[in-house]
Amino acid sequence: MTISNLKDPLVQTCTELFPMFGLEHRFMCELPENSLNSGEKVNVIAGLTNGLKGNIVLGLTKEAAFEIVSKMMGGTQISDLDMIAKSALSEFMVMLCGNTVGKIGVKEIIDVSPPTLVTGDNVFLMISKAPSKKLFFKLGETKFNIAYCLE
Amino acid sequence: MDKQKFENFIALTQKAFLAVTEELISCNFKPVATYSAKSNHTVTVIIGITGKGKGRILLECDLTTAEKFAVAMNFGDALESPNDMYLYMAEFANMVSGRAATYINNETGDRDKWLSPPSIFSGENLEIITPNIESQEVYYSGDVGLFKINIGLGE
Repeated sequence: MTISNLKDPLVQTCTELFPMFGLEHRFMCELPENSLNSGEKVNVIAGLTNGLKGNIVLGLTKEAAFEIVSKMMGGTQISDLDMIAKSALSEFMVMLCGNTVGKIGVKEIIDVSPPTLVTGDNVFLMISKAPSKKLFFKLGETKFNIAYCLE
Repeated sequence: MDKQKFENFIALTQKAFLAVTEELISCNFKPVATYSAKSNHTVTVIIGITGKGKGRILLECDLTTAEKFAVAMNFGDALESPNDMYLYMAEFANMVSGRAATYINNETGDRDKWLSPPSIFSGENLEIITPNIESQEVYYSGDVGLFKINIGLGE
């Protein structure tokens, strides 16, 4: 069974995951991405192997990253992405990928690699050599996106 | 993570890096103690690892080194598109990681390590971290420039 689209499992996972932390989000659209794309200030990447090969990247503005971490930590005011905040975002990505993989509905085991955080200025990314897709979401007054590529 | 297994994986990744660079661009790289990129604009390729011991391999260099390396991989010919540089770097990282995984799988006689496809990041002042994963860095210097390999493995 060939899986080429993760839109539905990802959108469904977000619908369950974000309200769990009291986060209000809205799915906007999915667009194809062909080559090098501009990334966000905060990017969390996890690889998929075994039954399904690919990558998922959660791209967050700083405001979106602070909002998610704050809600995960019970409303604590966040003004910097310290180690605890990065660890929280990593855990959020584990939940996002784990739930998504569980919704794909294939018999094979799909492994998820540990999430890696990439932060910086003028970030460009190419999440795989093959064309990828990007899902755009609103999160309160800010935004985030999830890019994925399956081989 | 078992310390001996971790050190063995680092040693095998280093062996793979040297073998692949020698085969690809016939360039001898030597280990160096420090890494100081010529510019703060870097190119980083991340490859996730799953199996017995999850983690990732990260290969980093500055933009100039990446350009020189990609041209060398293209037999010295200029690249057709600027994006090609990223594809060459991804392929290079894929070859190094794949070779390292093959070495370790051959040693254990089992399919011990699985690799995710390479992801390429390029930007200024990139900070890359994999929380809760023990990692170690090694640096290599060659004619084309400096490379950083960061290997992280967890339980």
